[in-house]
Amino acid sequence: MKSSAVAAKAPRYVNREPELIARVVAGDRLAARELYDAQAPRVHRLVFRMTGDADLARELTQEAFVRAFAQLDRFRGESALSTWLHRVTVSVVSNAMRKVKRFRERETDLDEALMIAESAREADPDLKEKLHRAIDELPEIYRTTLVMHDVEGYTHEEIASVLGVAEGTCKSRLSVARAQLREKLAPFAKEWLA
Amino acid sequence: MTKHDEQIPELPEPLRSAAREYNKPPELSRADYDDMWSAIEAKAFTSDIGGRVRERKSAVRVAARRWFAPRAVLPIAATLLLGIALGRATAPAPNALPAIDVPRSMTQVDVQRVPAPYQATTSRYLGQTAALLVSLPAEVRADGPADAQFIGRAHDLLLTTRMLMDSPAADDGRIRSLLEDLELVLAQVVRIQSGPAQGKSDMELIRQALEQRDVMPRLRHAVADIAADN
Repeated sequence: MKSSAVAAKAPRYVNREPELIARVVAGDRLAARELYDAQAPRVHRLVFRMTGDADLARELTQEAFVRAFAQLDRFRGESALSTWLHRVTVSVVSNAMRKVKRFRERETDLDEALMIAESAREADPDLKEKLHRAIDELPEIYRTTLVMHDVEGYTHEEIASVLGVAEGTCKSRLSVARAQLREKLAPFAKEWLA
Repeated sequence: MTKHDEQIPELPEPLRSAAREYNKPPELSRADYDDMWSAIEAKAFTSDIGGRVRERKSAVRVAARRWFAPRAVLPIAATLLLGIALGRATAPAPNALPAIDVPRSMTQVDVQRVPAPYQATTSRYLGQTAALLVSLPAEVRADGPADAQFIGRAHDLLLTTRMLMDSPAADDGRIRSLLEDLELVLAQVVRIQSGPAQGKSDMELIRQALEQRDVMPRLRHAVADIAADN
């Protein structure tokens, strides 16, 4: 799953990409639709992985495309369009998730007493759920890197380009993310070593 | 795998496998993507972005200057006559597009209201669009997809429609209204799908769009007026 996850497009589409971009910049909706059709599934997939919420994923996918079309005249072709679009997408999602996190934290404060009482009665979640919670709790830069690499199969080169960091930084973040997961799940090591 | 990759310890297989299930996205249907596109289109393409509109207006002016060349007059007249002839020849046929007669005063589009530099372009555009829509039922046959060249012409006319909508040619309310309706119809024409069933269903949608907005009578009246003025 380490093959290029960003730029897996049909050659015919890739050949037409520069022409489509020029037409979108000139206001051609049909060309915009063609770009959207080619890119939307991957964009939505990444957004959903990062948000875990169907409505939010749709909303942010739309927002990413709206912003990308508005800024497309600034695209200089220095990277693949898909890489540039993913960069816009990650930026949109990161900004939105900060707001969502603040909102959820306020809600958590209000409901904290109830939640503690409820969770005490719940059975222990299984390994998958424990892991998913641990991923949720990773700091954003580590979570994004881990999700893109280990969950969605992007290469370090692609992630570095999307996030605007060096490949070494990307690898270092992945290493930290994995180490933190191992540490958090250490009390349940018997389960995942079994 | 680089030396650095080797230094990143992998997660144990049960965790790697569980990680792949993290926030697993659902498979979206075509309709889901279409819904998202509608929202994107509404936000990204309805706002009046000054520079972009100015560029498009400039493109209209360039096109208008080119189409104004004397050598373009004969093809324009020929196209208009062809459009009228095809329109009259095909109007009574049972499979032809609807030709509901409505009061002329309600529908008349007067190309003379278009500012002079845009009249020739608008006239030629209306003639070509009439010819294309009249030949539509024959082009979208039940046994196969529409001809690629035909769809290409529809696409070119759609672009011209949008350029005219952004130009002073659309300052008159009736002409703007006709252009908006033609934009909708031409957008449907360029999206006609391959395959007998899909083509038939697309054709039905186009027929409804034409019928509900009396597009063909308005277009025919406009083309007839242009021919009379010439």
